[in-house]
Amino acid sequence: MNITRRIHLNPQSKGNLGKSFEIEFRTAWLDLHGVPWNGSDLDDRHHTFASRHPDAVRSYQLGNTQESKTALLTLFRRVLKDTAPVHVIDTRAQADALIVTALEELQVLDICAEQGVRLTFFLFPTDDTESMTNVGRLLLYAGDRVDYVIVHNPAKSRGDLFKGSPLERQFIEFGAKAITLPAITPTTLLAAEKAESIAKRGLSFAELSHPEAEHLERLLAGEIQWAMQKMFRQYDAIGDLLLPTDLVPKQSVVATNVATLSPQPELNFEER
Amino acid sequence: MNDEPTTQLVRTGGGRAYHSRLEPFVDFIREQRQRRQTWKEIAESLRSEKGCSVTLQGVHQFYRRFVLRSRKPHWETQPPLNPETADRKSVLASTPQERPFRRPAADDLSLNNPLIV
Repeated sequence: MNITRRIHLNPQSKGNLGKSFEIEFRTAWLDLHGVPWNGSDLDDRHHTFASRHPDAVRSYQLGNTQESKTALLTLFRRVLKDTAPVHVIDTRAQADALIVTALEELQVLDICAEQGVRLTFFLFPTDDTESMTNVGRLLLYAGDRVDYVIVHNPAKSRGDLFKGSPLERQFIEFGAKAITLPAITPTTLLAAEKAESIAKRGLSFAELSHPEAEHLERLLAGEIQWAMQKMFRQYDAIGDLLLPTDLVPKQSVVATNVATLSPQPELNFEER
Repeated sequence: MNDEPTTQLVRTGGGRAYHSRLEPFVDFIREQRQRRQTWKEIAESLRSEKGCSVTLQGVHQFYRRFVLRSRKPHWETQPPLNPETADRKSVLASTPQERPFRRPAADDLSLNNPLIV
């Protein structure tokens, strides 16, 4: 299948996993490679994504089951008419059932496939059994109709339920690739929040990484820069799951899979 | 004995519709049955009151067929089709097509058991 466009979606039920955090690195990576993108923010409580990228991201109210279907119908109609090669969707917590229901009832996966659009699901292993069961259901529902990126976030979860489990093996079999989020100090994160408060608007991580913009102290901006670099290397390695076929950088063909992760200095010894 | 070779009858359909001569008396027969009359008594009533001579078996078999037939819709009892709707070609509804795709077996999606060290 020649993929002409990509839709990135993180349809996971649990909150506080680092979904919006990860998106900041991903969109910065897209900008770095000059890949045009736009996005949708389905987190109607925080709207973090839209506030940080007001020119590129549109906000939606998911609401209840019926309202969410209407919102997602509007969203996917817009996305399918759009020409940007990548569309990034940030969802709120507890929305996985709404999203899967809408995907199924609106036949989104089949219609996207007809138009050369492929979805990539970003899934975050947690230590919560219910959340991980939902992840399994997502794989069961979508199968090989979408691509999967497993996002490990050691700051939020050890991933003991997932690592080495039959579920992880199934994801590998279905072509999933893994990345690991860097752990950023609470000091830098708090300073970023304070900078947003002072600026009276959301600040993207890309903006925060520039010390000359003086949103953050040099030392703290440096930590963001380090995290960016760490994530960019990983995105380069899984570019074939993030981009349309024509835009995939050559080197990303040789990508790591879930089982062969690069060293992660933020983990303890003997942790994968 | 008929020595002539038998000829194969060709079913052509159509022809004049058959009607039992008891059909005009259906209501009469029903009324009699509801009064707990026997088939023999009904046959006599038909002959004496309606001038329709028939055996008790004839009445019984006719009425049994009538009751069985009335349970199902029958072309003779249906209202005539409106020619406009009869000629209309209906558009059949389209439903989502089954597109095969690969998915894992549900049994293969288990997680690690944290109780096992």
